[in-house]
Amino acid sequence: MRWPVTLLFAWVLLALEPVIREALRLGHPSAAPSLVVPLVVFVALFAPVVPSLWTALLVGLMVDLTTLRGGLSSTGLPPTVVIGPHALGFALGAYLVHTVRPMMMRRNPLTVMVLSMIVAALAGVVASAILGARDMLFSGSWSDGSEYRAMSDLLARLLGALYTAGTGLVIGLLLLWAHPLFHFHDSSGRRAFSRRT
Amino acid sequence: MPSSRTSLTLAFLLVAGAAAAPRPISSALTHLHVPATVLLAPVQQPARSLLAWLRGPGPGLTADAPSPEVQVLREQRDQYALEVKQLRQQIDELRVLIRDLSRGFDLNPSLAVKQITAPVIGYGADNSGGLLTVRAGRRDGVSVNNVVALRGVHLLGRVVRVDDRTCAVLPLTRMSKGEAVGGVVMLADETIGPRVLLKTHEGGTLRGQVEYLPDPSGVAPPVTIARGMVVRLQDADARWPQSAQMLIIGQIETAEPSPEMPLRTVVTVRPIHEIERASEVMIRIPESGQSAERVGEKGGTP
Repeated sequence: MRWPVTLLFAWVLLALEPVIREALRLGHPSAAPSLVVPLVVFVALFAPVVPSLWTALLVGLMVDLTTLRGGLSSTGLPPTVVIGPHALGFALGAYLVHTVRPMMMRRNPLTVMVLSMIVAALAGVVASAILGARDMLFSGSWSDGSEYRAMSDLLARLLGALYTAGTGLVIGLLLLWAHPLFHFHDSSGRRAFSRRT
Repeated sequence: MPSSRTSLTLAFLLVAGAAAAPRPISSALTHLHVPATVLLAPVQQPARSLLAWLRGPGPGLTADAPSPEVQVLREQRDQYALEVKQLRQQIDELRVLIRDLSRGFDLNPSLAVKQITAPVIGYGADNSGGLLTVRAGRRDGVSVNNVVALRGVHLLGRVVRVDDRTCAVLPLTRMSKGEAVGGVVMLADETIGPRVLLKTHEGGTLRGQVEYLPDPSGVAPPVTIARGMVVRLQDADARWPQSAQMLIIGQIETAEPSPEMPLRTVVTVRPIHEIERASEVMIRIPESGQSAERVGEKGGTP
């Protein structure tokens, strides 16, 4: 896999993510699609397990690092970043895709679409679980200083996962078109199959 | 390959450890937020500006302000109207001050504010965070608790964290559940109506019960609160800085009798501009020597 190409796509999609999310957000709790999840799925579909997990981890870390939490005056604590919810969620999602990919038609954009939805839901559950656990475990000066509403956040994430199917299809088409640029070693399912037999 | 697997395992352990770490550790990692945001800004900022251009002017300006010149003039008009209202409020406060001084109290309500315009460079990729990152920081004179406005007169929120070049803004609609903001319903452009204490509500709105000031004569006609009336901030308890007073909180979306007290009205207020979609904001910075403002003087936080 060509890392510069993957990182370039990740950089552009990470930068566009909050803008597009805000533009396409529906209702409150706001269900918004993800742009980076289809990239994580795409890389996990074609790359070996270690690079795909690194990609998921790095993309998730960037999402975590760019999101400030807390800052409520009732707590008196400044806002903070929480590292882990998305990094671990995306990595788990990438591993899931890597596990099921032999059963998938990898070149089909609908595969990226469906897997994006599943990975976004899984990552959402992981992120909600981590943030909810932190909210329950830590209090006072150890807390994140936010009033975490676990159920509404989880609902928003799951609705956002459904919504991610749309962006998954569009970005899946784009990424499959740009597939040769990534230079995946086992980019063809047929080649991988013929090597094994 | 084993070395890459080892490093990956190590990275996972570190991330898992960070996820389980309490605030003292996570706040140390918050220093990485600015580089991460700045890294994405070259793409994010043009995309946001493009989106703002595609979306056109906000709902408060679309009706009959097609040209940018008219839009600028309207913004200037709103700005001057705000200054008039603030001056009137200052006059009222000066009257109170004179009265208080005669009683021996020491108050300092005078205020001068400079406004700086700054682009929003990040919302964070995860909506549950809710804070905006704005490209103006300590070197621009921004400090914690500075008031942030949208289009000059619409209250957006306040600064909760300041770095050298950026700051984090907590939008008004993301206040904690127990926190309230005091406002007044404007019965007309210049007519201040009853007070209302607003708290965050679902759907990016604020909700609260309208409080009627007792009429000493008892002959004043009842005030009708209607949809579309503007609510401005007027926080008698100084939970918000002086520079935020009389900024527009939003418009009344619904006004209905309170379930507990049917004679009282409960209003739902929605910000006129979607504050979480702002691409550019104005930070109201008190002139030097007044950074504490009334909030600091009273020892509270907004």
